[in-house]
Amino acid sequence: MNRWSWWLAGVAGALGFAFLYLALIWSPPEQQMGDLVRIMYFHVASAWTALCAFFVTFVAALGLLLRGGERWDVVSACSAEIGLVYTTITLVTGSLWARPIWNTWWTWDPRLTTTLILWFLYAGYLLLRATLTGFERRAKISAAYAIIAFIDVPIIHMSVTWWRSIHPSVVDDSGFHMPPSMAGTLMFGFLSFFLLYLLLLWLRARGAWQKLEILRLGQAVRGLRLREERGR
Amino acid sequence: MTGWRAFLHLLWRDVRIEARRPQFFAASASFGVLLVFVTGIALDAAEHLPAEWVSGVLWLDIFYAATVGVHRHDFKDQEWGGGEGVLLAPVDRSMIFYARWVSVSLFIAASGLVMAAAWFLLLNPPPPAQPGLFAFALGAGALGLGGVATFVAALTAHTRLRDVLTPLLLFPLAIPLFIGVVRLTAYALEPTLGHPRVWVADVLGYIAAMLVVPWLVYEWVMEG
Repeated sequence: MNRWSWWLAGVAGALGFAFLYLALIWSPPEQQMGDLVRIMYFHVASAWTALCAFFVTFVAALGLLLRGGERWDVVSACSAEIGLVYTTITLVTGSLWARPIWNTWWTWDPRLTTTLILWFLYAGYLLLRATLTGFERRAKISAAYAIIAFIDVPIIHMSVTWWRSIHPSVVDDSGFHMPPSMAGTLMFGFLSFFLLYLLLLWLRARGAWQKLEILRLGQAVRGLRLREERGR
Repeated sequence: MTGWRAFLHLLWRDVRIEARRPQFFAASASFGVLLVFVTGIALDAAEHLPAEWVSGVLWLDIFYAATVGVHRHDFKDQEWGGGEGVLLAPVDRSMIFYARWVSVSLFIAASGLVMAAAWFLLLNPPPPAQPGLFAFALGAGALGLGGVATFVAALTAHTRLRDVLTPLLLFPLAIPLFIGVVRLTAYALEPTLGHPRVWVADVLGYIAAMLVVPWLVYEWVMEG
């Protein structure tokens, strides 16, 4: 980790602790849900961050196909990995919240259904990458899939919404459906989750890039050895 | 060679290869009928299932059966080197996608008809009150499924786990189509369930998306 990474990690850590204080102690309990509302801060913040991560995957995939370059591919893959972790947190916290409120771990609500489909789409993306051989082939094919998957998400959401809906809406066109103290905590949570995402993306992408460089160096060394052996 | 002629040429080539030895049709249709039969056993040989359930069973079987046959052409192309020859054709790569899409849709529709016949015989659903809507659901479903299956098959053609990956990528991508055709089939069987206009729009919108988006990225997939 370089100096900037340490700074970013320090800020993300401080914001994380502040968010824990705000979400678990400072924020008031909700009138009907009581303390269960605290799950919502983690659930919504991770869901928004996951969507941002998948958007970055989409943009990087477009960048790769239009402009070329391995850096786009590295960013696209790393962002999808982190987005998948955030989507898993969203699904787990949603299920923990649904059990006492809806009396079930799972219900066929559009947002739940869409989020689970999103999870499968990007788990498929990572599996596709893992089973493709060749850097260029893997980059191009997975970029094409990432673009289709991201464009398919709103269509999936529409179709599932037409199918059925009972999920509460915390934010819509008319604004936040909660008091300012809770809305502030939620936005602070999103900020700290997003900063953590940026830190993880930076570290993961740097690690992946260094791995690529090491592979290239290894290939170059093998080439030199072969040339030397032929020279003898 | 114009794009239209190349399209017809490629389509005719796929149909002739399938007609010589109908592997796609035979594999999909027999697997689909078997699935209908096993589903009937799983549902305890129930005679009067609700229209939504029985429609869901039909489309689940068609979707599964399509994934079984979708790589047949690729195997043949790789075996005889035909795939490389097609890539050398001086036409836009999207023409290859559209020709393959139409041929795969035709084979899915043919095997879907066999599965629908087995479904009527074994699961005993009510006869469609709106046969036109039922035919539209079958046709549009085969076309939409053919599009997404062709694209996913191209994506997974060079992977080590193509047989597992194809359904794993195809099903999440095809959810809007799946919900739409299941609802349309249910409405065709029992019109009292509501108005199907929204689902017609859903299915047509999905086919339109399949028409445009793979065209934009298919060239990169083929190059990959």
